[in-house]
Amino acid sequence: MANENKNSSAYRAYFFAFFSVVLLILSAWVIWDDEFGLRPWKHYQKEYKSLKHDQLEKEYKQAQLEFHRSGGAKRLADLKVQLEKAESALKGKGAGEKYEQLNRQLEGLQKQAAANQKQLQTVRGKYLETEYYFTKTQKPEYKKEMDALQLQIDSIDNQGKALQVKQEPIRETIAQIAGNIPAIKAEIEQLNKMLEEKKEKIANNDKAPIEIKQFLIKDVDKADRCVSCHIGIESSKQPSARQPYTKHPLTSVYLGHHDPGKFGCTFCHRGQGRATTTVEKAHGKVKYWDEAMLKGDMTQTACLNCHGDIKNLRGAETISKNTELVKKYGCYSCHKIPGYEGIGDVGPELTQVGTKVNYSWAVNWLLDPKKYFSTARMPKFFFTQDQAEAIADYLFSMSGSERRDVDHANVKNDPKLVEQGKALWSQARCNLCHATGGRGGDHSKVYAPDLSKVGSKVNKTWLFNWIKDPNKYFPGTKMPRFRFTDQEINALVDYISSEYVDEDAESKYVAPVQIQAASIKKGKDLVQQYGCYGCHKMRGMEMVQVAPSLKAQGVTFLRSDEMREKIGTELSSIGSKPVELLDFGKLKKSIPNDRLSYIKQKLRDPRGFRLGLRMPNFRLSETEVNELAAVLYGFTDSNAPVRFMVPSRQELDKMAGVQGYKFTGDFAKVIADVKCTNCHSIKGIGADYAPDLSLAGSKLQESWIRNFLANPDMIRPLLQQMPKLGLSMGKMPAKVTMPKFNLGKQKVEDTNRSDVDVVVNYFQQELVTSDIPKKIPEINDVAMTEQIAQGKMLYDAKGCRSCHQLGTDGGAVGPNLSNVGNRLLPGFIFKHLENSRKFKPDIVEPNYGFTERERVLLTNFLMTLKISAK
Amino acid sequence: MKTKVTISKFALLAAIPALMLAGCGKQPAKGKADAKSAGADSLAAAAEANTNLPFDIKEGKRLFSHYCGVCHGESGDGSGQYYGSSLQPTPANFTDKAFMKTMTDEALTRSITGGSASVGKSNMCPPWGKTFESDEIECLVAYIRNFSK
Repeated sequence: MANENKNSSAYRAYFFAFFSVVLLILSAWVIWDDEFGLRPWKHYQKEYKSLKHDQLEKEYKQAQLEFHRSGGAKRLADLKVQLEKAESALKGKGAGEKYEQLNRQLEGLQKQAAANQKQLQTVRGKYLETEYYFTKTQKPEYKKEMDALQLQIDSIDNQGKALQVKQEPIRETIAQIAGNIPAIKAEIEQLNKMLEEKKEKIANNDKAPIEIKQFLIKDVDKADRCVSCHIGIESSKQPSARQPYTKHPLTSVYLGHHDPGKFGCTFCHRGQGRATTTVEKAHGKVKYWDEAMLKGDMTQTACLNCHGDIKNLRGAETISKNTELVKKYGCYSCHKIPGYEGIGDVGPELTQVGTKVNYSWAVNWLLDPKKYFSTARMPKFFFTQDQAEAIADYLFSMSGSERRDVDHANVKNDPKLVEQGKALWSQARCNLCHATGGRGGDHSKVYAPDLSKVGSKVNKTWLFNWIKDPNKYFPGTKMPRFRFTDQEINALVDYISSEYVDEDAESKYVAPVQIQAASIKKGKDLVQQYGCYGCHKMRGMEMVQVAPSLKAQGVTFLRSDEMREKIGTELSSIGSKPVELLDFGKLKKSIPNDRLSYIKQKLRDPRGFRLGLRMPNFRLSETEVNELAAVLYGFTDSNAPVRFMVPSRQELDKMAGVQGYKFTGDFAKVIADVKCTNCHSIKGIGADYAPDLSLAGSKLQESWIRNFLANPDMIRPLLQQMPKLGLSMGKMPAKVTMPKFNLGKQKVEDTNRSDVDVVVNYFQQELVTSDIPKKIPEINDVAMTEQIAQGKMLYDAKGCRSCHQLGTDGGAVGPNLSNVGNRLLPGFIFKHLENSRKFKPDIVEPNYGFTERERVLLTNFLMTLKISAK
Repeated sequence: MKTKVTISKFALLAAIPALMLAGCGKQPAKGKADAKSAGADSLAAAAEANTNLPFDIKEGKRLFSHYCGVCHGESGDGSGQYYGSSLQPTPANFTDKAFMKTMTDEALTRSITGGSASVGKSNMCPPWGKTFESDEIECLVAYIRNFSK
C-alpha cells in the first residue's frame, strides 16, 4: 500500500514535472510569438532603419567629401582662426571691458522691453474686455474706464518706444567694437549646418521608435496600418528597391494629390488595412476577405471611385483607355451604368433595314457577325437558323412583306462612273474611318463598319440615299454628309458596288418569298427576349422598354432614353457586390470564387455559368477581358465622402443647374451634318483625334480657315493621328488629314449662308478666349528687322529644328512651320510659347521657360514665315 | 535505446502544443497547406511577372513612347521616324551597352532635365525639366536603362 502510494506520488511528480516543462516551453513560445511571430512589421522596420541608416551615412560621407573638395573645410578652418583672432583682440583691456559692459547694458534694456510688452498685452486685454461690456450695456462708467485704460496703453507704449530708442546707440557701439565677428559667426554656422543637417537626419532615423504606424481616416472608417511595413512609402528617396521598402511610384501624381493622411491606403488599393500579422492577410489574399489588394494595371480602377471624368486625368491613363471599351461595345445599352446615360445607340436604327440589306445577309449576320467581318462589334447570340430567320422576318416586315435579295451578280455598273467613283473615294478619304481589305479605319475609337464586302450587303438605291443624307435614314449616325453632287454620288455607288463585293455572298431570295405571320410573331418575341432594342432603335419596341415601376403607374409608351428599362443587371456597384450574391452556377468548383474571377469569366463566356442566361458573347480577346474587368471592378458603392469626390464637368453643370455646352444657330446644323465632333473636340464635346477647336477663333487666321475647309491639307506630320488611327502599319498612305467634305459649295439648310461662312463666324464669335491676347507686347528698344533676326537666332539656338521643319529641313515631330505666319495668330504663338500644355495637355513640345522678351522675338520671327499663294 | 526515448519525448512535447492549438481553433498543419499551394502560387507569380512589369518601367515606357520615341525610336535605338534625316547628330542609341555604361543615372537625369545642350552636347534634345516632375524623369531613366539590359 505504502509502496503504491509512493509509486503514485512519484507518478504525480513526473506528471507535474512534465507539464511544467510543457508550460514553460509554451510560455516562452507565446512570448516569442507575441513579440516576433505576430509582428513581422518589427523586423521590416528594423531592416528599413538599417537600410536608411546606410543610405543616409553614404549621403553624409559624400557631403563630407564634397565639403572638402569644394574648399568648405578649409574655409571653415580659416574662419575659426579669424574668429579667434578677432575675439582675442577684443579681450584687450579697454575695448574688451567696454564690450562686455555694453552687452550687459543691452541685455538689461532688452529685459525691460520684454516686461513692457507683457504689461502692454495685459492692459490691452483689459481694454478689449471693457469695450465688450460697453458695447453690450452702453453704461458710461465703462466708457470712462476705457478712456483711462487708453491713456495707460499710450504711456506704456511710449515707454516701450523709449526703451527701443535707448538700445539703438548701444547696439551700434557694440557692432563697431565687434567688427566682423557676427559675420564670421554666421558663416561658420552656415558651413556647419551643411553637414549638421545630414548628421541630424541619421540621428533622427536611429531614434525613430519601432511601432505600429497607421493612417486613421474616420469618415471612410479606415485604419490603414500598411505603413507599418511599407515604412518608406512617403519618402522621396528609397533606400532599397525591395518590397516593402520602396517609395510610392510617381509620388508627385498619386500622393501629391492624395495626402495619405487624408485618404489612407486601402480606399484606393483595397486589401485589409488593419491586418498586420501576415503579408497575405494585409494584402487581403485570405478566405472570407472580399477585397484583395489591387495590383498592376488593376490599381487605377480606384480612380473611378471619385473622379467623374478620367479622360486626360494624369495617372489614370490605363483605366481611361480601358473605359473606351465600355463605349465601343455599348455595355450601357443593356446595363444601367452611372455616368453612361444619354449616349447614343451603338447599333443603327433597324426600322427600315428591309430597304437597306439583303435578306440572306441579315440572316447570316444574325448567326455570326464576325463571319462577315472580323472587327464587327455586334456579339454572337447563338441563334439557330430558324431563330435568325424569324428575327430577320420580323425586321423586314416593318418595311415590307417579302424575303428579298438583290441579284448582285447581275447589277450593272458603268465603268466610267466606277473610274470616277474610285477617284472620289480616295479624294474624300473614306478610308480614314472605313476599313477595306485591312486598310484604314480605326476600331478603337471612331467606329465605322468595314466596307470590304458592302457591295453584296446593301442595294444601290439605299446606298445612294444614304450618302446623299445619312441623317435621314439614321438620325444620330456618325456618318457625315459629304457635299457631293448627285452625279458624284452615283459614281461612288457604282464604284462601291463593283469594287467591294463578297464572292461567297448567298442570295437565296432573288425570287422574293412571302413572310409568314407566325414567323414575325416568333421574331418579335425573340427581339423582346434578347433585348435587341437596347442597341438598335426599332418601331414597335418602345412599349417593352417601359420600366415595371412606370407600367404600374399606367405608363405604356415612352421614348425617353433615361426611362428605358435595361435588359441586363445594373452594374453601378458590380465592383463591390458581395461574392455570395454572384451566381457561379456550375463553375462554382472550377474557378476561384472571387468577384474579379467572376467578372472575367462572365466576359469570356457569358452563358457558361448555367442554362437560360441571355447575355451574348462579344468574343473579347483576353486583353480586352482584363481591361474591361478593370473598369467593371471600379464601379463600386465606395461610399466616398464628399470631400473625395471630383465630379465630372457634366455633373458640375447639373449641380449648378447649368445646361451643358450646346452648339447654337447655324453652326449646330453644320455640326449635325458634317459631324465635326467625330474627330475634333469643341468645348468638351467630341473626340480627340484631331486638334481641339475650342479656341480656334483665337488661334487661327480667317483666310487660312477658309482655305483649309475648302481644301484640307496636312498640317501636322501625324505624330498624333498615326498611332491613334492605327494607320502606321499596313499599306495606308503616309499622309492622313481631314476628309474632304467639299465645304463651301452648298448653303446651310434653310439659310442663305455658306457652311464655311457659318464655321468661320462661329469660330470668331464663340470659340475665342481672352487668355489669348489680340496683340503681343511690343519691344521698343530694337527695330523690328533686328527683332526678327534675333528671333531667328533663338530659333536656331534652342534647337527648334529638331522637331519642326522649315521647308524640308528639320524633324517631323511638330507641325511644319514654313507657312505658320499665314496660319496662326501672333497672340496664340505668344501664349503657346509660354505654356503649350495649357492648350493641349499631352503635347510633345516641352516647356522651355522662355522669358516674355524671348517669346516676343520668336513670335515676330515666326510670323514672317509665309508661303505666298500661287 | 536512449536516443529513441528522447526522440519520442520531443515528439510528445511537440504534439501537445499542436493539439492545444487545434483545440484553440487555430489552423493546424499550416506548413502542409502552404506546401500544397506553393506550386500553383509560383506559376501564377511567374505569369504575373510577365504581364505586370514594375510600375516605374511601365510608366517610363508610356512617357518614352509618347515624348522620346519620336526621335529615339520606340525601341530606343535612336531610329525614331520623326527625326529629320538631314539632322546631325543623330539621337542617342540607348541599346548601345558600351555607351550606356558611360552614362550614370545622374548623367541621364541631368541630360533629360536640362536638355542635351546642358551637358555640353548639341541643342537637338530639348530640356524637359519644366515639363516633367522629377519622379517622372526617374521613371524615364529606369526605362531607358532597360534597353541595354
